[in-house]
Amino acid sequence: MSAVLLFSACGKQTKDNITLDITFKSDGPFFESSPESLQHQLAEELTVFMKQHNATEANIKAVKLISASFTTADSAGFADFNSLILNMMAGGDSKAKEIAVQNPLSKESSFSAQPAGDADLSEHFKSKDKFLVCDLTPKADRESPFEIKAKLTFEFTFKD
Amino acid sequence: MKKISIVLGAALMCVLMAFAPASGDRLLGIWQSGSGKAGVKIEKIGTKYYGKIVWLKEPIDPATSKPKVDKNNPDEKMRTVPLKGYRILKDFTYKDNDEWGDGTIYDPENGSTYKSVIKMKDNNTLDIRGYIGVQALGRTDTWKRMKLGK
Repeated sequence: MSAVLLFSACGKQTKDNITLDITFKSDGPFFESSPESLQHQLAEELTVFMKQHNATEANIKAVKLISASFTTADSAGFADFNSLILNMMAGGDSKAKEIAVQNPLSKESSFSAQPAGDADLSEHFKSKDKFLVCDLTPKADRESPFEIKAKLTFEFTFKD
Repeated sequence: MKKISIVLGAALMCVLMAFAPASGDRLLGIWQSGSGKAGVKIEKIGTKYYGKIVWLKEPIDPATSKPKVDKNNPDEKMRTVPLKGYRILKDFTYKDNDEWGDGTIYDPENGSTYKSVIKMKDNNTLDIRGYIGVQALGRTDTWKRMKLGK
């Protein structure tokens, strides 16, 4: 993690990136008529990062997703699904946001998705109750489980 | 005897309350829009309620002979995402008196998102109001709970 210090008239700001390794898993079955949402609740992943910056939620000024890659060990790759939409949801006043989209999906076992560039996630990360939700639309019924490993890099801007 | 009846009654109430869904969770399930064109599954993530399209009366776009996509989405990169599976209800919180608020509803027919409140009229009927600015400037659609197998 490399920190970049920015100084402005409003006070010191620090930017730093954190990469989260998230596993999304569903035991199945998947039904063609019922698109599946694979959830991961963020809890301890940010603890060390926040301590490194001696920061609390109140010090978070801005957060954006800058890269998102997804891998599956499934033999069919992602071919059993039409599309993947990664959402961030949280409690309080924050609003659900689609933060990365891949459509269509292919039989490849990994890909990088284009993050939604303008989505500020600071209110989400300030919330104690925050979720990453991966929406998968199956092409057809599927009985077997499915697991995705996601590598998500977020850029945080902290304020004093 | 009267005391025993009261105790038994209270115990029964406790058991019923323990197994009854939390008031807000009565919204969970699959609902059919007023037009009958779509079925929306409402689920809970954290403390909020969200709904995504899981059923379409006409899933194939006659213009392309392929599954319908979200072609009116203002975000260009979302226009090829399948409509089935798209989350159109977001961020509803349970208020009280069978009402959920603070949410939004997305209309795939025009690509617009509106503020929204949901009122449960009875266990199988919802009034969903989408509005701009104040609630008076809006439209209410009545949704019915979908039965399995539909």
